[in-house]
Amino acid sequence: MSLTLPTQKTFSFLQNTTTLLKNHFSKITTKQLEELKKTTVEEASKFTNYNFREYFKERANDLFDDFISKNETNEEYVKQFYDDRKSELEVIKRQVLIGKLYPEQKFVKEN
Amino acid sequence: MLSISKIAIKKSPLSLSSYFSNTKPRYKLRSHYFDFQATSPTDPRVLDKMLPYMITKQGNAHSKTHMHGWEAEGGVEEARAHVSDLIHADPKEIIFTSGATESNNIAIKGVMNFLNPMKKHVITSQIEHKCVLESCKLLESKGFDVTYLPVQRNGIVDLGELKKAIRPDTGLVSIMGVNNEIGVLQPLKEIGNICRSNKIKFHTDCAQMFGKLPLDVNDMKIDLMSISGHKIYGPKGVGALYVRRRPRVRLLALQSGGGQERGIRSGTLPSPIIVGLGEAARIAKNEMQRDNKRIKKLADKLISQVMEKIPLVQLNGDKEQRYHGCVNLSFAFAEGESLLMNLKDFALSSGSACTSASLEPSYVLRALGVPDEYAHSSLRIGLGRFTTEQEIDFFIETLVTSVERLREMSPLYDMYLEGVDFTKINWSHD
Repeated sequence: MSLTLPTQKTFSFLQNTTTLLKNHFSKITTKQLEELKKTTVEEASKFTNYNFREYFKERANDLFDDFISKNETNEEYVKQFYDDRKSELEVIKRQVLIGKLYPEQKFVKEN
Repeated sequence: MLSISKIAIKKSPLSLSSYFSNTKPRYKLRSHYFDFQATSPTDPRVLDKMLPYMITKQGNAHSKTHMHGWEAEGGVEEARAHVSDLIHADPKEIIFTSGATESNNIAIKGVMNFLNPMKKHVITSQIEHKCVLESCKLLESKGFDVTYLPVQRNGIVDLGELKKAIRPDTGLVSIMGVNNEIGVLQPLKEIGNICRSNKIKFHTDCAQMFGKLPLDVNDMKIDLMSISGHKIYGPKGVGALYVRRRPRVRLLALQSGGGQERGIRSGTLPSPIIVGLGEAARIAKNEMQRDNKRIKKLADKLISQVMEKIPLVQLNGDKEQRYHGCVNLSFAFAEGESLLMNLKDFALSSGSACTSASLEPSYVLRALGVPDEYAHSSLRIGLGRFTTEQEIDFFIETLVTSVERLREMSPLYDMYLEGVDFTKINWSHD
């Protein structure tokens, strides 16, 4: 059996397939968006401050519902939105922690 | 005071700090916040952006020789870009200051001191913020002339009066965008056109408007604008001044030093809080539409339900041309201080200056021509990004009960119900 070295054609085929697979798997699905929405609302519910808690919960629901209902086809926009919400989720997680480190009394009328 | 000093002498010096410390909560429950015109809570996203600049990136933004300085400078320049982006200005036209009060002082005194002695006249309105009025008073004592324009019954400046007041030696017109007490929105575009056509510098105190309503310094022909950080969910102690570069606005600096901020405001830049202001501006740009829609809905609900449930309620200021988050209501036959005491579950502000030494009603309400009995019983209700519908419902319920209770106790209200004409009464005792 003679060993043949990979040709330029093989390399370009491999490159193209990898890019195709990358794009296919990096495509953000509605399911992923719904999951991120659920996680964000869960994290936002952990705020100790009543006003922040209600605001971030409502905001997460509104933003995700509006975006999902638009049925955006441009993958770049979807990826941008997903990345923005992900970084915001990190901010929320950190700030929830900080709120817990400096606890204050509850408001007069909290749910 | 004597008893406190006795305690201090008996105990060790360290206990004095514990006497004033906040380790034990003074209040059992927090009152719901309805005073967004006084200040606003710092948004958690703003705090998150600020913290690295207080922990690790602590360099002086003016240190040009090492990474600590470059990092801080990067943060400051990013904040400058966000602030300028919100008002359609160039980043080089933004000067960071300690707040809108300092910005107002620099704008008014700086411009007039530069234009002295060619231009000696300033035009402002009667409902400006105290810092603008005090700066104008100081200029008057230095020999300048100041015209305080009256406002119409709805709180808006009369453009005819403004045109009449312009003189050949007018150097500056200073009219605020949104009033902090009644929330009315002035016609900035029209005022800007009048000033540009007369070659007069136009300064506007937009502390209550920046980040809440759309602003365009080129469209509105604004030459100087004051910005406050803590009104847009940013940190306290920072603000900005927009100073136009084309056509150039020249002014004399108030604070001398190393020539930072184009020589207009020397001093080390407080990079953490400037970064906070920038982030607040960035968030405001993205959230302005959504916030305004929510706040308008809540404000409309508040005003309509209160007016439906209790009679003799007056909304001070124009109904349409306003920022909806500032609601100033007057209740006849219900005294302001007593009303505030009944609403202790809410953080509110009264329209009168009852908390100060004088019992005079607020100068803004007086300028509007609000009669004294209404001015003494006015409430300023501030709504913001974090106000919830549940809080509004609770507030309406408590407010209605309090006003009804106060009116029941009021003999004047009984007389009003009987149809007594107050103008015909001789109140003096013989």
